[in-house]
Order: sequence, then C-alpha cells, then structure tokens
Amino acid sequence: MTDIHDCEGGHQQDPVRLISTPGQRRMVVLILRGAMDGLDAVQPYGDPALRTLRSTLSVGPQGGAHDLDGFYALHPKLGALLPLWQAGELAFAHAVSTPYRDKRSHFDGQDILEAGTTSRDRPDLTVKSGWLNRLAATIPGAMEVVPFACSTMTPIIARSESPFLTWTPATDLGLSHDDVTLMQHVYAPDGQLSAALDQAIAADLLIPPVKSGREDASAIATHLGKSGGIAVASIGGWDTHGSQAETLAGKLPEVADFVLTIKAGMAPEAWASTVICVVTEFGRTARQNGTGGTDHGTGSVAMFAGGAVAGGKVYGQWPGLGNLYADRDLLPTSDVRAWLGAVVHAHMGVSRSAVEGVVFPGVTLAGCPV
Amino acid sequence: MTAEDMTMIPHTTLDASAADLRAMADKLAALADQMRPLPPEPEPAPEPPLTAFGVRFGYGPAAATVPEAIADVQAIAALPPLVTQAEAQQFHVDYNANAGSDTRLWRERARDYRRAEVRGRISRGLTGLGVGNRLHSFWADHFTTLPKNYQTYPMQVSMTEEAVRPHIAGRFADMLKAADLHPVMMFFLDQVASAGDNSPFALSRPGTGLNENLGRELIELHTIGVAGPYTQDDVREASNLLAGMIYGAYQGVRYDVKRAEPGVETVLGVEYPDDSIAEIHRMMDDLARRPETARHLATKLAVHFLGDEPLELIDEMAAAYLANDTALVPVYEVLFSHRSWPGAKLRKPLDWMIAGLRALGVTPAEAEALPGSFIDAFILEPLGIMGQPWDGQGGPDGWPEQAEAWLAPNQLAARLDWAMTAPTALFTQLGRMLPDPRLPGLTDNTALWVGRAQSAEAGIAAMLTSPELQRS
Repeated sequence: MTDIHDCEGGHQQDPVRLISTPGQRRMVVLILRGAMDGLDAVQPYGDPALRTLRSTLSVGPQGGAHDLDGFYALHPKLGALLPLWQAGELAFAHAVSTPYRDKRSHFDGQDILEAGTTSRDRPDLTVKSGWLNRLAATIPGAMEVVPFACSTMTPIIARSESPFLTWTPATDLGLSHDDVTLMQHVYAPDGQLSAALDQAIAADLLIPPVKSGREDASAIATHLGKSGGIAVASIGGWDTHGSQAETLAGKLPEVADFVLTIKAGMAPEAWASTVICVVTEFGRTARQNGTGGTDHGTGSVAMFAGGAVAGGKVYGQWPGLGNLYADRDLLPTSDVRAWLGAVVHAHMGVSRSAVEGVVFPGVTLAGCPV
Repeated sequence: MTAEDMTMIPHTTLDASAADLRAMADKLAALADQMRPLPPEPEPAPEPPLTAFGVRFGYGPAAATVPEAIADVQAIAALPPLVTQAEAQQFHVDYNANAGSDTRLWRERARDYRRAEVRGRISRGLTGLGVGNRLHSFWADHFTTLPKNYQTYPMQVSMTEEAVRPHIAGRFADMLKAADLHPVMMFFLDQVASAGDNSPFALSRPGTGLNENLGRELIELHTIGVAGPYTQDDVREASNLLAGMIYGAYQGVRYDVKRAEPGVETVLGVEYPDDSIAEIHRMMDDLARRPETARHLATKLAVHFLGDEPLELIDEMAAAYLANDTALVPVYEVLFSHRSWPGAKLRKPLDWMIAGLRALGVTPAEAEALPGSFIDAFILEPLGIMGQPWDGQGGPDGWPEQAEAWLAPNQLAARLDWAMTAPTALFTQLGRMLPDPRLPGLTDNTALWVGRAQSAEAGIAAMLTSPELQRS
C-alpha cells in the first residue's frame, strides 16, 4: 500500500466483504465506483432524443448494441450477458439514483449510496452506519465472515458501530508466505502472540489482497457457493469524462465477467437463489461532451443478475430524454435504494418495515426485480 | 493444617466415641504423612536489566532512578494545556452559531482539535522517559469521557489536558473535582440534564428531574469502586447533592441553585446540608480520602502497569495515598520501587504505536509536525481497527486491561498491517531512510529472524510486532 488516499474518482477497488446468513439466499452487491454511464450501458435507443444528445456514444443497435425489447439495447461489450437475459436471469432498473442531487461529488455520492441514507449529514444516521451492516443486524444469525483481503480504508457500506464492529477489515497486508513464516519464528517464544498469529493465518487475514474483479467474483462464488450470505465488491474506473467508448469497451466486460464468474463458480442450485445487484453512485450527463465523454450527472441504471431474478425486463419508469434533470442529466424516476430494498425484502426475506425503517430509512420499496 | 482439616477433628475428645478417636488418630497419621520436607525454594528470578524500567513504565528500554521517573511525571504535568476550557467553550458557541452554514468546515475544525491532542500524546510519549505520558493516559482513561458531538471535541481535549494532566503529579482529590465537574463529563454522564426532583426547576417542568449517572460513576468508577460499601441510597444522595451543577455553551459551568434538591444529603454517612459548589467539593474530597478509594486506585495502577494484583504492593500504595492526603507522587514512588515484576503485559494499540515510533527513532518534533492526513490514515484509522478508537471507549469504565481483549485475529493483523505500511509512509513523509531494524535490546531469536527478513519493510514489521515491542 503506497497511498491509502488513492481513491479519487473511483479508481479504488475495495476488498470483498462477506456476511453469512442462515438459509440459502444469496445477495451480491457490486458497486461501480466513479459513476457509470447508464445511458451507454443500457441504451434507450427508442427515445428519439438520444441521437440528438449523443453523436458517437449510445448508438443503439446500429452501433452493435443488442436489442433487448425494442426500446432499450445492451451495450455491445455486455453481449456476454445476453444468454442470462434470454434465460430470464437478467434485469435492469433504469433512471434510478440515490437521493443525492446537484453537487455531483463522487465521494458524497458513494458515501450516500453506501450509507443508504438520504444525506450524509443526517445526525441520526451518521455515515458510520452502512446499510449493509444495518441489514445484517436485521437478519438473525447473520455472521461476519473474515474477509480474505482487507484495506485500512473501510467503505462506509461496511461501517457500523455495532454489532459488526469486528467485521471492520483489518488490513491491506501484502505479506508473502515468507513474511508470515518469519513472523511465526519471531512469535515462537511467546505462546499468546503465537496463538493469535495462527488464528489470523487461519482466517486468511494475511495473504495478499485480491486484485481483479474476476478474483473477487471467484472468491465470492466459493464462499456463497457453500451457504447463504451477502457479499459486496466494487470495480472502479467509471469516470469517463473523455474517450468513453474506449474506456467502457474495457470496463463493461469486467462487469459481465464478474457476473459470469460467479455463475460458473457455483452449483446451479446456489445460482438459482442468487441475486447480484450492480449499482453506481450516480449517472452521467445526457449530452456527450467535447472530449468524447460525459460528465457527472444524476440518473443511471441498476442491473440485477442471478437465478432468482425475475429477468428479461427493464424495470422503472422512463422519464424521456426531452425532460432532463437540470437540463443536463437523466431525470431519476426512482430511488436506487428502493430497488436494493426490494431485493432485501423479497429475496433475503427481511420484513418490509425493517427495510423501510432500518436498512434504508425513509424509502418506499419499488416494484420487485426478483 | 488447613482449615478443612481442622473441622475434621472433634472440638473435644471428652465425650468422643472410640470410633471418633480412631478416626482422629487416622487423620493425624495422614497429616503427619503429608508433612514431608518442603521442596527447595525456587531460585529467585534474575534481576531485570536496569533498562527494563523504561519498558515497564514508559515506551521502551531506559534506565531510571525513582526520582528521575517522578521528575518525568512532574515535567509532563507542568506542560501548558493544548486547549483551555475557555477556548473550548468559545468554540462551542461559535460552532452553534456558524456550523449550520458550513457543517463540513466546522466538523473539520473540531477534528483538528482531536488531531492536535493525538500529536501531543505521541510527541510526549517520545519525550524523556515517557513515564509521565503513560500516567497521563492512565488517568485520562480513569476519567473516560466521550464527546457527544462535534461542538464539544475541543472540550474533550480540555478535559484530558486541563482537568487530568496537571494533577497527575498532584492530589487525586483535585483531579477528581476538576474531572467530574468538567463540561465534557457533565455532558457524557448527563449531569447537564439533571435537577433535583423537588427543585424549583423540576417542579415547574414536568418530566424533568434527577439523573443519577454522574453520581453513580463518581462513586462506582472514580472513587471507592464497585466493590465498595455503598448503597443505592448513597448514589441517589450524591446525585441529589450534584444537582445544580450545570454547563451550557453560553454561560459555562455554574451552580444553578434552582436545580438543587432541597434538604440535607447524606453520602456514606456524612451529612451535606448546604446547596453549593463548596459542598459538592467537600463530598468529593471526602470520597477521595476514603480507604476504599485508595485501594481501588492502587489496584488499578498495579493492574495497568504490572498486569497483576500484588497484594502487599497495593497495601503499601494505598497507605502512601492515605498518609499523604491523596497525593499521587508517593504512590508512584512505591510503584516504581517495586522490582518483582510479573510477566510482561501486552501494550494497548496507542502505547504500542508510540513504542514503535520510539524504536524507529522518530523525534517529538517530527511527531508534532505530522500532517492531519497522516494522523487520520496511520494513527486514528488503524487505532480503530486495532480496537482502540480515539475517544471510543465502550463506556465510562475505560479500556480493558486483559490481553485477550486486544488479540482478536483482525486486531493482530491490523498491528502487522501498520508495522508493514506506516513506517514506510512515515519516513517518506519525513524524508528520511528507514532505520536498521536490528535494534539493540532485541532477543536473540527476534534479532536472528529480523536479520533474515527478505525486505526492509518486513524486517521493520517483524521488529515492531516482536514480543519485545508488543509487551511492556
């Protein structure tokens, strides 16, 4: 670790977090840090305004995008997910956002997405209390699973005063096996420290951090393949102010790969009870800018994949690109937390009142993608 | 003969039956059989090296005489406060007036006070013997308070800097009065909401009344201890006497007689008829002077520094405390003179970090100059993961003393992480080369393996997390 502040704009990749829960329900949240352009990932080519706002981006089926339903088309580089769409295991919710508006800061946006609150300054729900931890606290028997790779920067989504304080990941330990052996020798004369070190080794706390989205996905598949639970991972690098076409051509396959790696790493029964939610902190400007990119916006798209998804459908109310937020952004018509909340309720079995009162306070559950 | 053996023998043999007598004879024969010569006394443990004093009472090897150690405590006590109560109160007022328009700026200002306290605690730990700083941390923990909001962050610093530190070489009674009537303590333990049930204040405001929190902890945690001979009535009466003490940002600390409970309060058999600060001080002086308080404090000091409860030493420390009207230096003199130390204690995270920085040769001036981003990323954040978040004690009883509380796998991993990453980041910041980790004073085993590390970072990490550095 050279610079732990190196998370500007979403290049940070957080370690995977895991909570095991009783039963067989599985939920994975993939956070796309840096604000993914929802209008490019799932292109509303049926909206005539799209072509006037964008000349080279979001070209629709003419540019190789895969038609989904006659109105929306999937970005060409997400084509690997088409079989899931056809199998009814892939859905989207379009024109979604957190309640965050106007300042369009990555940090605020990500904080609010992870805190699950309406603003980062709510005194009753500080950013320390991530929605994931509040969710875990509502599921009896939920247990922390020691993460296999850790960072001293704890994403807010995993922060909590209690009862998951020990879930706080410890480290970004790039210890080699030689280093670990060295520590065992140094601790040999001290029984108490030796025992603690052995526990840390047994908990996989000391091995080098997982680096790629695929490794994260495969680790998630391994852990969730065995039993029910919740996992959170992230992929950074979505801040496409310039050369968006080239950047997304590299990044979107990572998302498809993440999803397909989880599917491939699980037994079919486990996949059948899995929902992967892919969310981003906000969207990007509806208009293409002068550098082949887009700037910070508001509404974006959320994706749901997994055997438990009621897929083959793009959910959400389309606002029309003739009706932009602040004359620049896709107007959000639903709260992304309402969709996450719907998964938590309908799939993970948490009561509606707990979802609307504790996990995502103040939210009203949206229609259900599962 | 043990007490149990005694009970086996009839008190009188006058009317004992023959069977009883036979049983008694058998018992005596068995006892005689047990009275074999005692095994030889074990060899006394070798005297620890002189530099072990600094390891035990400071942050690293240093020889010191008792007067030198006392001088170190007095020097720390004499330093000017980082924040005064007046300054902290002004911040509270300013925050309330201005933070609404720029909350983030004002929270950041509040955090800067905490960062200044962190720098101070670290740099003083790197100064002199470190003994005074250890005792400052000890007493600050004895009077644990947590700021409940950003506007009182500076007040929290004033608490440890003004209410606690100047008294660590003075009288405990004075520390008690300053700490328990400090604004942050009154916030933390709800004194600011308390009013006697029969006070004019409470009678005219339904739903208000006495809050026992401060009265309870004054007795249970700060003075005579939970094992002491007090009752719920004493807690209630102490709280009744405290009713009237109040703090507000605009008026400061004051005694509001309209909140006072009418009548005479009786605490542990002593009557306190007046409603005044002087009477509250009198109660606190009385509590401080009690033998149970002497024993409670002596035991806490022994457990904190020695990791054990050597009864004779505790008796001696308590006697010194009582003979000197709650003065603490005579207590430390007893503690520092004690040389029969039990096994080493695990250092708590902050103490271990300071010990590590000392071992790396970081100077007090360098610690003072650390930027806020470093304090956040390499001190405050990791302290939390290691289980000791700054001002984050679970309750008013402070940090746990037993090693098990600090050795969960992720806590140990966090120490390894810090040892691997913080030194490189720090020395890059300082523009210096990492020092050679093969320090004098390491055990042969540690020195051997530190020397075999495959990278400078791993060698430093092995040294910093070695048993020698993790234990005091």
